[in-house]
Amino acid sequence: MLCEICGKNPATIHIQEIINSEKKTLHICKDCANKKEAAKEMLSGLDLAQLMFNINSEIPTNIASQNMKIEVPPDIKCPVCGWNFIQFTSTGRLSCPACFKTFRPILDQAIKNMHKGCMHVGKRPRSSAKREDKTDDVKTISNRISELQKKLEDHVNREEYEKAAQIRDLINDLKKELISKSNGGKIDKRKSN
Amino acid sequence: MIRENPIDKLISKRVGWLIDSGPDDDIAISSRIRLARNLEGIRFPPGASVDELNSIIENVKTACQNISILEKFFFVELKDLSHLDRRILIERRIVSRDFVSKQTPSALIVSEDESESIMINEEDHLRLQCVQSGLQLNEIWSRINSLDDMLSERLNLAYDDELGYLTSCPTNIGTGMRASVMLHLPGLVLSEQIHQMKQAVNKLGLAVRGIFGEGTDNVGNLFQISNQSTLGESESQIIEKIDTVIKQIIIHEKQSRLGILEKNKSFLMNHVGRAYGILKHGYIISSEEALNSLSALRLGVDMGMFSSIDIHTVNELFVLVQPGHLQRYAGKEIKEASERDILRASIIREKIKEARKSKEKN
Repeated sequence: MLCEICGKNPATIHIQEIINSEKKTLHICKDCANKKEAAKEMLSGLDLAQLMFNINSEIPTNIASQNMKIEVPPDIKCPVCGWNFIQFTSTGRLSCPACFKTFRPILDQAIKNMHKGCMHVGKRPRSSAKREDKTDDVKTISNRISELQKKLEDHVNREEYEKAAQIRDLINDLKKELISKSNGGKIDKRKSN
Repeated sequence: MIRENPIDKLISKRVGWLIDSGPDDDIAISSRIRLARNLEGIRFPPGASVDELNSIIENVKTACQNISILEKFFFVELKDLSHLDRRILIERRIVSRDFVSKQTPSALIVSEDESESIMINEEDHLRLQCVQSGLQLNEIWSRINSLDDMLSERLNLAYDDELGYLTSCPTNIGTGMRASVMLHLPGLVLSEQIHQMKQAVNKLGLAVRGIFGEGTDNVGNLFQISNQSTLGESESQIIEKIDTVIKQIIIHEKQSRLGILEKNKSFLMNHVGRAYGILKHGYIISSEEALNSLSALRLGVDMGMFSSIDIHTVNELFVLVQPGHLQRYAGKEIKEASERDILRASIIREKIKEARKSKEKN
């Protein structure tokens, strides 16, 4: 896609703006992004990112300077899809699973602010390769518990106690599930009507 | 799937989830769950090339061909939808504004009764949605969960053990689930308790926003309550939380309505009566005025003040008075707001007359 301003260079920067309650995406090249008007828009995009990601400290002061000269910031770029720091901060979006690893330090803070926890405790995708077999249930859960116990140890060693606590809770839940599945889900007939 | 523009068929049918009854549907108009999913191995929409986006559409289409429940669903590409068609889909809450303003390849799969839909290449590769009337989050979850399972058996989804389902916006990772309920809360608004309700709900980690109206303006007394966090809680925990909170809000709304009835009956009768007068006899009605008046009318109907107006007629009118639907009704684009205001008023008069006639017949 070509830059929407000069129409010459490939558009590598995508800025989302809200004009009259309508969200519009601007696709421009790095050259045009350096020009004053685009830089102003980008600054407001960065402000948005600041709000979301609290990355005030990470933005080089050049960007906020008078002549709007934009230096290439911390040289972070996703090795798989090419998504870079400016694209990330101006849109607040990621472009592939590997981006989550690439931008992890910034994301960690954001995730803490946005979500209840930092560990997924919901459903997993059901893929044809790993179709759940009743007999494997107990095995799958035990394996998962062992995996999680290793993770727990890691977090404790790194003094990441919050994450460790969440994993500990998840392990306890899985242990309960393991017990009920091991009993074959028998109904307690001794309950009175 | 049926490869055809669904708009004609959808318009000719009455909106199922608005018309049918659901639990607590005098206050909880509808419930909705949306799941965000991406395919592994292709960039997410913000960074994807046109070719990649087209391949997503192809992959999803192929996967859907083998899913029997999707047999009667419609498949349509965004580029084949006119400006007016897109407005109608937004008004029926089948798609988001973000989706219709896309300049890049996107598509929509939607069921005949509009209760289930999949947006392809909105902010994520897949946005699954299921809607039903009333407060029915558990039922909706069961339906959308099985659709999600069927898709994930045929498509490789981007998923991480720690962060869950991976989405282009970090606010959606984990469960990728946004559960929301649309509530009609004229009682809380009239008794000036809405602000407290919003604050209390926010403290519990839920978001409240007006369905219509900009920012803090309230139009039509319709509010949407949804979860904010998607990571760190399981799907059933999120649903249970919203369900519990909504039930409390419903109790408060009912109490506030009774409170107004007891302490200020004349005010209530006046409020409802005048709104009915405008709707029944007005010739020029703006969108805002229509929504506010319909809200008052609905309140009156809920409280048994009308024997001849049916709740579902009122619900239907909420959709029909919107600009896209109006123009569809007229069969042409009407660019002048003032012209639309006249058409709006005439449709309302007609529908109310119809409702009264059919009541008289019965």
